[in-house]
Amino acid sequence: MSGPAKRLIEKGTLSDNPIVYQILGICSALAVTNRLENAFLMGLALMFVLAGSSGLVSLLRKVIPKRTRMIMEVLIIATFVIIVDLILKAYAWDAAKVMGAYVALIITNCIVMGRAEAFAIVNPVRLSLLDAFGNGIGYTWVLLVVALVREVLGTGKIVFTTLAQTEIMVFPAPLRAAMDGQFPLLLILPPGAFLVLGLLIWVVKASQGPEKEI
Amino acid sequence: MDSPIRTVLVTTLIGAICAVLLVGVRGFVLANIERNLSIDEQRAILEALDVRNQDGNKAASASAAQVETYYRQFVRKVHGEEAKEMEFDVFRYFKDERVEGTAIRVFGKGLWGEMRGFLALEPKVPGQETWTVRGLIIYRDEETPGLGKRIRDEDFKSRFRASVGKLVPGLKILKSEGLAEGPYEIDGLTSATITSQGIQGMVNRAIEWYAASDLVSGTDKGGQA
Repeated sequence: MSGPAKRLIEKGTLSDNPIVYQILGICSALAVTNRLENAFLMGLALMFVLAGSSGLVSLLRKVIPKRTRMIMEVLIIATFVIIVDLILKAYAWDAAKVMGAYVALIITNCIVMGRAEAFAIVNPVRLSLLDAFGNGIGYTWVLLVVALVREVLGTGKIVFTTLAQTEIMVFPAPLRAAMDGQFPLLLILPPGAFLVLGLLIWVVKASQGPEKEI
Repeated sequence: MDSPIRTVLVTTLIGAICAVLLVGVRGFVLANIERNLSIDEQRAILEALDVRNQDGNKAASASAAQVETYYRQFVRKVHGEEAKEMEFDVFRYFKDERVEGTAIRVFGKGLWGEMRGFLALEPKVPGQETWTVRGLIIYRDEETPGLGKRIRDEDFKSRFRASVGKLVPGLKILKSEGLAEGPYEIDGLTSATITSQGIQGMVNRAIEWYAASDLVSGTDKGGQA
């Protein structure tokens, strides 16, 4: 991978991570992260929409009229969101029922619109796709970490329903018996999302050293 | 600056491309989505009728493919056309060719939108004018999470199980918990009065239709199909 391509991926996943540094896409990051499986599907859904819309916006960037630019971007984003919604309803029904509203809300996810407007509309397709994947991975890993912490500590297990019905008990049996099924419910409830995401942002930013003034 | 004509043309063209894309994808996945919807409905029927499998486990808790098998094995539709969704379809639970229960489709308005479900009845005791409720399952609604949405909770469903012995027609759903007295009253949900009233309305409309229909004679009484 060439230098600029590598830098695009790196920026999206880490140094300019949409959630940690730009605080975009927070709504869905808080809402679907009480289960690891939902967070993963949401990450995939967003990555698909981001790649599709950035790619198409970039491909059409020379023909899209300046005046109706943003309407066209929303139209293209909405198209990909509906495609994802249909695919989830067809192949991941249980997850689709849980995430229903949040999938539709990808249309207003600031990351997607942000990448289309800030990057894809002025850059070639290849770079726009790389930028989209970088940001998509950046969004997904944050969701996965938050969901892992919330589901494991909040319920003591990880449940999968889409591909196969499985439950992974994370803690050893004696510990589970001692806890008597009483895990901190707070982590599963909405406030838990704020706490865990806030802590994660703090840890990532602190590990990157003091913030640079721009 | 782009000319207005070009703007309109390009905008229309991109709109058309998006539309074609969507129509294509929808055509590709529609059969799957419809199957998922029908499994949801079959699951609700199995749950309302409290259908048990060979081992005595709840058929409604099974996986999607299993639900279809159990539905074919235990349930028969005895009234209603395939194409029409919004009518009082009637389903019967057969076990060794005996009728174990009857489920009637119920539908009506909740607080925010349409609710759909199934009201299951025990076989009618000859000579009596009433039925014992076997179960009530709402499988589609747009009620408020935490308030009206509690119609989906086990606690609310348990108020309609055969063991509590509630009778229809003439069922009343009350305003809150802890008020119900006698076989015609069921506790409603506190702070979800409109949802509770909606349920009462749809249950009573369905049972009034059923009582007047010719489906009651013969097969409903627990005899042969």
